[in-house]
Amino acid sequence: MKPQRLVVFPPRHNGAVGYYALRFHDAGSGRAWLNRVLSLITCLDIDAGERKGDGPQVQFGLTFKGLALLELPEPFLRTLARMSPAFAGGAALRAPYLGDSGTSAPSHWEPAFRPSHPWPDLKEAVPVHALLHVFATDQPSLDRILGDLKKTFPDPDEGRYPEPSKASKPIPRVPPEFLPLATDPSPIQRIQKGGDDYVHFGYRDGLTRVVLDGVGDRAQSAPAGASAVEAQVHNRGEFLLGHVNNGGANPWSLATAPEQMRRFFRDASFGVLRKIAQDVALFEDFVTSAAKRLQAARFNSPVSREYVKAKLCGRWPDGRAFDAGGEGPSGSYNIDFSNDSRGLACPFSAHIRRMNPRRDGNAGAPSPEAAVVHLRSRPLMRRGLPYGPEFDPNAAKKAADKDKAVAQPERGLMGLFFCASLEDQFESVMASWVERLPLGYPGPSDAKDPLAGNHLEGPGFPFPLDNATTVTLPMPAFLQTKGMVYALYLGKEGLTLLARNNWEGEDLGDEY
Amino acid sequence: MATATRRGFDPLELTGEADPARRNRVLFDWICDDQDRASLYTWLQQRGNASPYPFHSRARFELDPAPLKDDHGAVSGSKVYLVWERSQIEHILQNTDTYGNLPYADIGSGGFMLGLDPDANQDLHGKQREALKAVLEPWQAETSRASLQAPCELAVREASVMALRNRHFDLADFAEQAALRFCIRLFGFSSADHALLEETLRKAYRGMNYQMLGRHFLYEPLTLPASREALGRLATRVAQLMDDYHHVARYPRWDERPNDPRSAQRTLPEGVEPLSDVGLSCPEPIIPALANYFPPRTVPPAAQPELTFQERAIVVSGTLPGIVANIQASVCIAMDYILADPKRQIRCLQALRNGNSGALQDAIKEALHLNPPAPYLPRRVRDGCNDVQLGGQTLHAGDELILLLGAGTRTAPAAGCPSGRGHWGEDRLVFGLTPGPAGASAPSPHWCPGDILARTLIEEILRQTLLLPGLGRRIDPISGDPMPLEKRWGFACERFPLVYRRDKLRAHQGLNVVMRIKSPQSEHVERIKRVIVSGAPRIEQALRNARHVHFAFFELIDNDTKLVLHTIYDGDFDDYINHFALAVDDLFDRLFPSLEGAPPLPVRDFPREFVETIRRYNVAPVADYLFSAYPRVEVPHVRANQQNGLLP
Repeated sequence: MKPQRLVVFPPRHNGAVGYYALRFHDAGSGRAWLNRVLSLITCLDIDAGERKGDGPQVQFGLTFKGLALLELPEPFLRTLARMSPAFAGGAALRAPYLGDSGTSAPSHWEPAFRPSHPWPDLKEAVPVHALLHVFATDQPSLDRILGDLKKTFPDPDEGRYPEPSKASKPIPRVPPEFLPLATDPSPIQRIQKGGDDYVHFGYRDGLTRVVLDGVGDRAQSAPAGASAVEAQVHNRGEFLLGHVNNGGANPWSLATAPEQMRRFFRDASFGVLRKIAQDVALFEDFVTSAAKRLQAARFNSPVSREYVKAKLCGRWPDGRAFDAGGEGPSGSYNIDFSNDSRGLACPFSAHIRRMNPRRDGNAGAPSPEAAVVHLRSRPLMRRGLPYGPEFDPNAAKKAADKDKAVAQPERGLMGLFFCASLEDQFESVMASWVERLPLGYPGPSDAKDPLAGNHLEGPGFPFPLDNATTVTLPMPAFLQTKGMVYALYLGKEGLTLLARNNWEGEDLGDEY
Repeated sequence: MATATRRGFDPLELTGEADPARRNRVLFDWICDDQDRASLYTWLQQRGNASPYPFHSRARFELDPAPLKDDHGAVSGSKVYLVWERSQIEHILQNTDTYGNLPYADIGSGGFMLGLDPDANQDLHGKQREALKAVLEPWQAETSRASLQAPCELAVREASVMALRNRHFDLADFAEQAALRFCIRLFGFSSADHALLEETLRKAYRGMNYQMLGRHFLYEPLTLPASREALGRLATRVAQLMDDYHHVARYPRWDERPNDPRSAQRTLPEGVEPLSDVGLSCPEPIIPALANYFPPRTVPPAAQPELTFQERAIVVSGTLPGIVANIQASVCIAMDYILADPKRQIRCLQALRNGNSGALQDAIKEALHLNPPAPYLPRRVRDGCNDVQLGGQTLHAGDELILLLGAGTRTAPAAGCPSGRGHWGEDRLVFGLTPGPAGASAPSPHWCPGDILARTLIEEILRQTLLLPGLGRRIDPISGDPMPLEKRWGFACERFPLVYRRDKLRAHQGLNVVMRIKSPQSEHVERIKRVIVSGAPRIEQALRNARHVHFAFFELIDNDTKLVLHTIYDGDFDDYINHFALAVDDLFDRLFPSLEGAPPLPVRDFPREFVETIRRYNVAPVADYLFSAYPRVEVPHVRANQQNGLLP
């Protein structure tokens, strides 16, 4: 079992991080390049106890069009298209279903993410073939790795293996084109406060610890300082193809397929790269005005901005859960809705109650029908990182006072999610849990996730004041999807098979 | 991924080309493409020469209307002039004595198309035009404008039932259906006339397109006969309805009875729905109003119209195709313009949410200014006219002209010409001027009979579409590109694929899996019944836990040869059925051995195959129509309210 490291563990280094969209010149060049960089892509032999993967980390995912360009055999492509229509169709095709409309519609995405031609601002119209992520300790180290990856082929014969029979004369090999997905003045960078990671909206990040059953000790993937957070353990099949999932099924068992196809897909994971621009100034203004409005609604009993942020997210900005009264933080980082079946402490519409349903007050009730949480948890391995400079309210205010025309550098979240089923996990979470009526909410609302939904439309956030009263806060559209790519992050074996292009000796007659 | 792309606009292709057929082809390619057409207009304006631009037509003119066999009596290649300059267009539109719109006569409809060609003897068209003006007046009056909103809203709502039933929808279809539904009420048709109107108006409009533009570039011998036949059928039906209206007004269908709930229908032709039934109070519909129309006494007796029902019916059949198609085109063009710029879309959306349609009206105006819904008007120098000069070009009797309204709107009105802008500030080449006291003194260059009506409906269709959750362009599954607005010959809007979050307006979906029972049938039927009886508590529990199934039951049909599983559930098919595969897999493991076409078993080991089998045998409801009394209420919503004691 040798999946890519990032699917199983958080990145070891993120002092300097680069995300790139890759476009291959042709099949031969693409395979030759992959063959050459294969050893740089970090895969871990987990069953053999390999854990850390010292040194910088390179991760690599291929889109459906990329796999087709590298001449993955037809039966493999057909199997992929049948098993994962979302992956085969591509992210842009599915985006409207996930709430990407208006400014977030695929036709307005950044050029690197746009699906195909004809785009006036691209000289050559080619879709994204692959994604590459480099995690290094510092910038010089990242540049060095990138130099290695981009290196031209000094010897035209290099990487021609295993096609000697075809090559009567040297064929020029061209390295892929690299398009950085976050560049100056908005590179991918961590926001740290007191040793903890934060996101632009001021919430502590990396608190959810999703781990694979039987993979490493549970503390391995715990972020620093969060050892008190309980790990959520899932079967491997929730993230890796060819393994049993939480429901006890193995959709990618491919029981009747040739051995080579099973080996190719085993340990692969579907990844979603979603770049979301965040208008932090607009969000902070909204929080301030919401606090004033709630204060008025609560007969002038003080309402802090932190409190508003906590209700939107479902936990306090520093990560702590709500106390029993729902008015202040508890001492714990662990979330449990056992005593909050009416969503008064953590609102039903809050970010974490939608994105990661946990036990609710009725889980232990004699009748399971009393529970309102989702029966099927749809776990995602989240590996997102913020991009762009940290928001400084004072600098922003000064800039606004001085010259309103000065544009703030873009900032946001470079979301990266891994799962074994795009349709059943990522898309369900986005299309239903983020964009639709929250489960359990009894009122007439179709509110969206306050921190992840597209607020171009929608009635706002239903803020529970007490058992009987709810104030609806209109939400400004502070998010904009800049682009999205679906990619398959193959395991070591799959990458090797693809790079070597050695499919002979197998009957690959059909899809499975 | 390379695709063949046509070369863009290059004037050298026109000026440097000697072959008139090749020039004709190049010109047509440009006219069909929005971007090239805009470049062509700019080039015409910057040429430094205001004269109409000539080209050789491919249209065939019959020398002998009934040629002998093998006598190729048709000729083509005559010169046609593109008139692009605003003042020339306005001049032509106003000088109906010199420039007639006779090319429309070939479409049928008795030659009536806005009735611009005065008849030398009786001025039949003039009388028809006066009649239409008179019956439209109550609808156009200031006092009616507010009450117009209700029938527009109703028409759009009715059209949305079918047009918006799937998340992928066609705005051109939606707009056309809304316009049709509106016109059925406006004119006083029966709702059963919907199919007739749909078919005949499409054929008639295609004929209009052909006469406006197509015939100069393409040869379609069947288009005009089809259009004439369609308009003939339509005019006949309208004449019949007029007769019915006229008759039942004098001889009601039944005697008056006290407390008769259907009393409003006594004086309406069969199948016509009283407006009061749908809560509308509107002026009299056009068809009965035309049937009962008498000219005002102020008109001199010589001008008294003595129009027959057939001549009055032609007013309707000659007007309807343009009304419906121009509404459809205006909606599509405006939406295309709004979606091109997300900031504009947001501006319109936010204003609409606040009950303000100003931003939307502005966007419509800007869009139609660049691309008018009816961008080409055919004109012909009247027979018997002397040679006329136009922009330095000498025109002879019989010469054909195409007025490029889309180019005219791009040139500013002449200084000191206050009439350059119409009633609501938009270009009068787009909607013309509203007839009325203000416009009476200055003749309108391009009178649009449906002016106010069309505007209200266009705005309403756009309003309801923009407010759809998750609205966006549909993405082409092959190329990955957003799908464009498809226009025939660059202007007739045929298809505009869009997408929206259907599930946010109606969460419920139906699943009806029909599978044949294996032979020996009687044994398997008994077995299935036993499995269902013994498994019922298990099904009950699994579906309760699933929290997205409203109803589920099994049915044996076709003399017990098929088993049907019916369910109504919330959300997405894949979500639902994936869950099913895992939640009640053992039940299906026991049912499938009795059914033909079963997937490999056990279900738990082949979940994807199970989903594919269910998808294959799922029978969608007829026309994908599903009624729900509470479309946005989902199972957990009901549950939560039950727990709170708000529901039993």
